[in-house]
Amino acid sequence: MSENILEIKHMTVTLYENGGEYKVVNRISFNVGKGEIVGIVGESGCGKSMTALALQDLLKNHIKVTEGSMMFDGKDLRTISPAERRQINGSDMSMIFQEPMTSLNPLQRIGTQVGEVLLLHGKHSREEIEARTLEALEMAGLPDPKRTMRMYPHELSGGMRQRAMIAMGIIARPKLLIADEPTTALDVTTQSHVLNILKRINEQTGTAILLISHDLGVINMICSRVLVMYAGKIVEQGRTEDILKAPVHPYTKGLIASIPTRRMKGASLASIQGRVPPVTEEKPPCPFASRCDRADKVCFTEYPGRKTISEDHILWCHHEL
Amino acid sequence: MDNKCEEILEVSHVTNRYRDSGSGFLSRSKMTRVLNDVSLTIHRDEIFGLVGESGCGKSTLGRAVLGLIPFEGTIRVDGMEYSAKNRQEFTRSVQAVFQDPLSSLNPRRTIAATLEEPLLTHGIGTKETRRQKALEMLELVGLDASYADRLPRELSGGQRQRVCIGAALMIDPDLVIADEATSALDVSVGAQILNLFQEIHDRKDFAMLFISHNLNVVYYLCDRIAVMYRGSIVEQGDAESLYNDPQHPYTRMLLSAVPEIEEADAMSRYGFDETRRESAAEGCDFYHRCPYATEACRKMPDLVSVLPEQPTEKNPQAEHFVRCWNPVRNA
Amino acid sequence: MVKTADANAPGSAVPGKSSAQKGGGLSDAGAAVKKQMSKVSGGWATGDNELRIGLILVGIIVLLGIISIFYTPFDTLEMDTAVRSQAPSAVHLFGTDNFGRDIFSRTMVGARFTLLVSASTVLFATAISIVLGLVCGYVGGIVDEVVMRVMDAINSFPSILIALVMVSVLDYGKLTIIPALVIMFVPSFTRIVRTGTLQYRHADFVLSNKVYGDSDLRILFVHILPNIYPLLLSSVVIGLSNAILAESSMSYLGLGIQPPIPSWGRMLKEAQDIIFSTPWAALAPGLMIVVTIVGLNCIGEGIRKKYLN
Repeated sequence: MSENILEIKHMTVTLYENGGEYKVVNRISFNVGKGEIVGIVGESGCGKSMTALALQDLLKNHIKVTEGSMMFDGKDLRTISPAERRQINGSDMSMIFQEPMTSLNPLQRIGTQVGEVLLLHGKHSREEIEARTLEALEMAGLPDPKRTMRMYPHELSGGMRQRAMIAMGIIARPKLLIADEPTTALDVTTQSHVLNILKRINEQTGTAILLISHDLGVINMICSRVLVMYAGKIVEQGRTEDILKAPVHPYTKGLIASIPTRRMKGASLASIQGRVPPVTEEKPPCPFASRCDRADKVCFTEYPGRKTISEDHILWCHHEL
Repeated sequence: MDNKCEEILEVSHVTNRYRDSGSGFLSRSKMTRVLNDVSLTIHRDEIFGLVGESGCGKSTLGRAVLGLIPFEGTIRVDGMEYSAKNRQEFTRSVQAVFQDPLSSLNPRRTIAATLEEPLLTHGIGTKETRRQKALEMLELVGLDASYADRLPRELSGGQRQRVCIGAALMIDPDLVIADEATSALDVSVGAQILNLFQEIHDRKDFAMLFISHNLNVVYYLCDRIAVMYRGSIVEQGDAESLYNDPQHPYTRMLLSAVPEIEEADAMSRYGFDETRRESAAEGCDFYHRCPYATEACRKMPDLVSVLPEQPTEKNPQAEHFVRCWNPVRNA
Repeated sequence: MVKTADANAPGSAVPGKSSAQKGGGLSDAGAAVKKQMSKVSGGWATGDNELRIGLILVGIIVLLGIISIFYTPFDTLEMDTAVRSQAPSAVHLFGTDNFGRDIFSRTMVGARFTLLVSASTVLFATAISIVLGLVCGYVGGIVDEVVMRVMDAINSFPSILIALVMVSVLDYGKLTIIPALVIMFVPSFTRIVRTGTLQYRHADFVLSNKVYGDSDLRILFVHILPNIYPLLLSSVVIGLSNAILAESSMSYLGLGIQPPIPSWGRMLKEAQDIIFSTPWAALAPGLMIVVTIVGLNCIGEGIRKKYLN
């Protein structure tokens, strides 16, 4: 019996547009252990959001998972029946998004929306639903759940709406919660609260969390492990403190150096030259090669292999420091 | 000290209100105060940071300085007050860079046309010299001359923001207002833009009012910083004093909430318990969330200096003001 | 009977709250999905095919109109009773009417006048609407309210009534129809320009230009207006086709260009009177109208697909 709730192997997500095929996620592999909080960090176009959507089966029309396996709780998400998939979505695996206002139905009360999740998954009595809704709202950090239940989304602040979304995500006691930039649209103080709530949920219920963010600081707050993605590939992954204290991949180093911290005041930020390539641009086998100051010929011709630096610390690069 | 020469921006008791018509059919409208008796000054060639969360009024203040919105009180840029008649003259002194590089550029005009626009408006130079200046500016902001005849949609976000910065500097303003200039950009691109700001600021003479919600960035870039909450400045000081020794409870709360990537470097880690109570109608805006609030806080405090002495020769910008009856002093 | 153009969907350069680039993945997905949702592909999806078809069709008509200035197969006024009511033949391409006039020649001249009338209508209406729309959208307030209410009032009048009033006031003249049509078209064009102005008024780049020191006039005409062109262009083309329909309707009712100057609408009316003796008389003008309208609509659609998405 695996200790991983999620095992992704060589997953590729392809975008079909204007007659062309573009790999927005390119053969990535990673695991999320039961009860673990794992983060995915990267800039725009790196494929982190696509990964999340692929997991939740939210890709439509001409963006598809074309390769690889996604094992969730022992089941292969690519081969199970649509009915079984719908069973999993929202209950065993659920997701919260960046913009709570558009994710909540403005015409329904909070309590109704949160409780609706249970209506869709399994049979519960009305009293049970109400009890579970209150429990979820409280766990999500909403003060006075009884009153909040009867309110509409527009009556809540941004932070409270996000908490309502969290409640919707956890009410069915999922084994895995995917959070896609859940705090990007929030003030820094609210963000801090919401992240603490997520951490507490993980501690109290054992729900694993896959946290997606562009902000390494956010990742550092609650994730024990982190994957760094660039242009569709994972370039480095490992324990958060290892990655932050001793990054090995040039992109990771560059990303960390781009964040202004106390020590850097007055000095130039060591930024990465060039820009993140758009999805439709042709990329060398190591997508970072054109911006890397350590790149040489092999980076433009061969896929960088997987290198193990230490038990948890894995790197995809031709070179090593 | 001759104040007139030193201060490029003087904001004096500025208040801004708007009438909120309420969300219901029959609800009464009420006056919401966005800026509440705000005063500050910016010296020439300094980078002044304005931080706060959403709704604190920092962007509104920026717009007020630019003359884009009405307000009560006075704002003087280089001694001049904005009025509809002196718009041309006023705009020679103060320019702006906004948050969204995509919508900040006219999608139907080439980069060169956008860069030349400020020159055209002020009647500077001839067609050839304007073009020449535009190309020079492109170089200054780190873009190749070939970008001159491209359209905004052909550039990336970071490149567009560089153009916006270039356009703002074309007529050599004395003050540049940057409103969340890096917030819509990727982290690595944002770093490039911050570096650009630093470089250009070293090469040209201008002051900057840098508005942002990102405390890390503000600390990194700015000499002096003011923290705003609900329309008032609650704490103001030079970057070091403010971040090393934050005394307003809100500032402490803000700094402790910033997610850090280096524990050893953490801006500040102050344990903070959220307290909630009823707001004080006339008093401090932070009263309802402040763990140190007392009865005195029902009256709005003034901004007072917490430094024992006047700014010294060595550090003429050293200052630290707090608007609090019970500032938190480090042990 | 007279249609008015609809306001078209805004173009992709419309400013609004732009989602931070960090959310890029989801918006890429959305755009890709949207493209796929329309089942058409190739030249039809990009509007190129429609543009070509439209331009060819309209081109033919315009060519006929231009040629008619110099040459028509027969004199349009000449009545030759000897060849009255002759069916279409090699000599008379569309036959002759009950007065013996060559229908084809009359159609050519009709093309000239119809196109002239509609083009000038749309030209004047556009010019007036641009000024009104820009001012209303930019200045707002009481000016906006008053002008738009006047527009609403005009809109609510049956167009025929306006035409009748104008004709009775200004007397029948070759060009009386033009002011009437202009008045009918101004409200919808103004609305389009006004909507576009409202969208761009608060755009960041307009703000930037204000900060650079641009005068409001310059902002309106140099910055906002060029961004509204695509919106306006498509509507203008459709407006042109509506103007032709309108003019034809007016002429049909006897309110437009007066005989003996041939206008398609008038010819249709005359054809109606002689339908039993000369059934082909309606063929030419009817066909011309259809071809022109279809052609213009194709152009309008093509422009919309090409420049507004």
